[in-house]
Amino acid sequence: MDHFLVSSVHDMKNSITLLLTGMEKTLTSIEAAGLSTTDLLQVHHQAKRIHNHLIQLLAAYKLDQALYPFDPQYICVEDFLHDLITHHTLSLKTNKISLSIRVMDRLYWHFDEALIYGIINNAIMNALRFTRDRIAINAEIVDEKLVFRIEDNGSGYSQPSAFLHNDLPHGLSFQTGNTGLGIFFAAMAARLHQHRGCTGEFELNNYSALGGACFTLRLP
Amino acid sequence: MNTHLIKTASSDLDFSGKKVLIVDDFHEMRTVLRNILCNCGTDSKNIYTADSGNAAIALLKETKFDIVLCDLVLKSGKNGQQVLEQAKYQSLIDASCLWIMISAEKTMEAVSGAAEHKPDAYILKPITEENLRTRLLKIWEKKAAFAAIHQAVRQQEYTKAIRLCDNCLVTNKAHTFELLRLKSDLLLFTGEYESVVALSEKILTQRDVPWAKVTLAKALLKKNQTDAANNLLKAAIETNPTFMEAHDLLAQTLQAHGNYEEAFSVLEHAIGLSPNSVIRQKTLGDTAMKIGKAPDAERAYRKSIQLGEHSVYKTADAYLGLAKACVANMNHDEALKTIDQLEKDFSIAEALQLKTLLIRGIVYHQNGETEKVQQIGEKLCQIIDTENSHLESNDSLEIARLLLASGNSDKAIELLQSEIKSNPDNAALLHTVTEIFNQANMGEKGHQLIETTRREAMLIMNRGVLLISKGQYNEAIAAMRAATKAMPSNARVLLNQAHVIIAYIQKNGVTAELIAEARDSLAAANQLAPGEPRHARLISALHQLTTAA
Repeated sequence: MDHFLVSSVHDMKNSITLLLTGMEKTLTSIEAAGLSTTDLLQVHHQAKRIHNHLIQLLAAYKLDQALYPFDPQYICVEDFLHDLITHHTLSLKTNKISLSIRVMDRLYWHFDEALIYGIINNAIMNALRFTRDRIAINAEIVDEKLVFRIEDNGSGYSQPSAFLHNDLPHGLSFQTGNTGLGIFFAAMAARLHQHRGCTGEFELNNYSALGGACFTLRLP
Repeated sequence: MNTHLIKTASSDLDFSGKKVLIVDDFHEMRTVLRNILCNCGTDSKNIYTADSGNAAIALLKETKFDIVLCDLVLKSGKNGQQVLEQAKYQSLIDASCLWIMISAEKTMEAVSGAAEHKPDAYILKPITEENLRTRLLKIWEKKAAFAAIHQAVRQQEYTKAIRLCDNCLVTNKAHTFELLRLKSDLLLFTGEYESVVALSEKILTQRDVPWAKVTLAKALLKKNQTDAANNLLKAAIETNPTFMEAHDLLAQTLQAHGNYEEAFSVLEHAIGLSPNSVIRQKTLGDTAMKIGKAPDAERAYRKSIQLGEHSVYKTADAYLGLAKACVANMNHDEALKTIDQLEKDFSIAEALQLKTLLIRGIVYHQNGETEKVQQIGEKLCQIIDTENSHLESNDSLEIARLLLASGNSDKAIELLQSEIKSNPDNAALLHTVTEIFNQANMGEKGHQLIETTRREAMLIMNRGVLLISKGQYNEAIAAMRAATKAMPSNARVLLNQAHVIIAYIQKNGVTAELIAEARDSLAAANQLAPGEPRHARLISALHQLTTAA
């Protein structure tokens, strides 16, 4: 059964990749024609969420089975974030959300690009969904750790929580509509990052300088 | 804090004159990539597309591409990795070509695998225009930064390559760790083990990267600190369970020290994580055979052959291994069938014919078909006598075994003596020779033969070097020439000969003949024992002599 689940998720993910590309093409031409893109944009956003979920589902499965090819590289954080937000330019523009990115100069760090991409991308997707009109991404070194902060000016998390020191989330409920996949994935991915006895950790709180939610990821 | 707003993508990379190849089995994906490239400024008539590995190879043979965007997973035939391997193997791409592997997810095979067969970058789907553009620019810059170093490596100027690494390390922060990795590999290759240890330990205090542990382990192995190396590799596997290089090296080390049981379990575990390696499956087969697990060996060899069908790693050895495993499983029909298949798939040069004959011989021997064994024994002797080709040690031993069984003990003893001369200090070899004599009920005679041959060989081997140290240069050269004639397949003799010639040149001056003679010895030694650090050092010394002249 595992095999069918995994291979179907795989296949679905590939289809949605093509669906997304097609939608983006259509969006550009609708926009060029001066027509409203609001409806299609919402569809696009949902498709992107599904896509993101499927990717995380696959990665979480591999992480869980200790099959994930963990491969930390020495990465330029600015390029990494820049690369990441190119996938959201459209949503930012059409929803009139202003995004600011601040990165410490010449900042390089060791991490698994695909995993951290997954975590940060998730946080940005959430911010896009709940912000009023501003998102700020910040990356700097604090106490010899790389710290990413994604903040917005929405109404904040209803249940702020910290996942520190190898915690794995528990007590998630299917009834609330929150499958917890994002959190589970982030916890699995963060804790693979270890250096000198320290482990990657993250926190969801409402201490945002913009007044909304703040997602913080710390990598040793 | 020194912060700033992020830049927009720079567009320094000029796409207009670039020839690009897109390889993807999905029509939609090819169109998407084509559109992106056109938007980047590539001339649409310079964009070529292929929907399969074979179609890609055909295009690569006709056109020199600047950029190749290749999907890792292709439906039929070769996959993206195999296309890249063949392109590199057959020199279908220049060193300046950017090869980007596109995949939907990160795979174990992408992360591990041999560096010389890696693409310039992997890009995960989905791909946006801006994202591809900035990636390509970055890879372009990196390629430029490393170009001089790689050039020096290609010309075997390792000292220069190491110096270039050091220069780059000062200015190029972005590639610090890759430069350090390259530098430690070069130091390892040139045999500077103390420097490798120092550098790796320094890297590891900064960051616990698994490759530095593996490099350190390699240096420790060269210094014969096997236990320390193994512990380090086990630690690397513990912290980075999916770093396949550590598994493979650990298995290799265990194997080299005759610990086949443990090597087998390490490989079995590694295969569980990353089953799609042609080489690892074959090594698993080899190890399984060593510990008498012929059914496991048969399975592994079959898998290796199946995976290697379209790969440059496809070797006759896997077929031979499978045939031998089948023999061990008393599955004689399958063994002969595998040999037939081998003879069909590979052009059978004499060296290979020898191997196939040998396996047929073993099958007939086991089936008690004495007459056929006799015939094969005669054919084998013919090949050995007429052809001056180099016999591999294992084959030589097995042929000797077969000849002893079919009554041709003179030839058999000749072969065994020659093997001992080539490797007089190899305990495993001497053990096998003893066992072969015992099997033929010649234990006592064998024991004496082994001892005298071994002593004789050691004496001849070191005579030249001894004479040089006494300042008798002419006598040293003469002694080494006699030694290489007597033991043409002894790598140490060949290296000693080069060493003696170089010392002679340093004393008496350069002649073209001596340079050529030293080069030939080194080439022959490298063929017998590839990657010997002494070989790299002597090449460097020889290079200095020729450039100084």
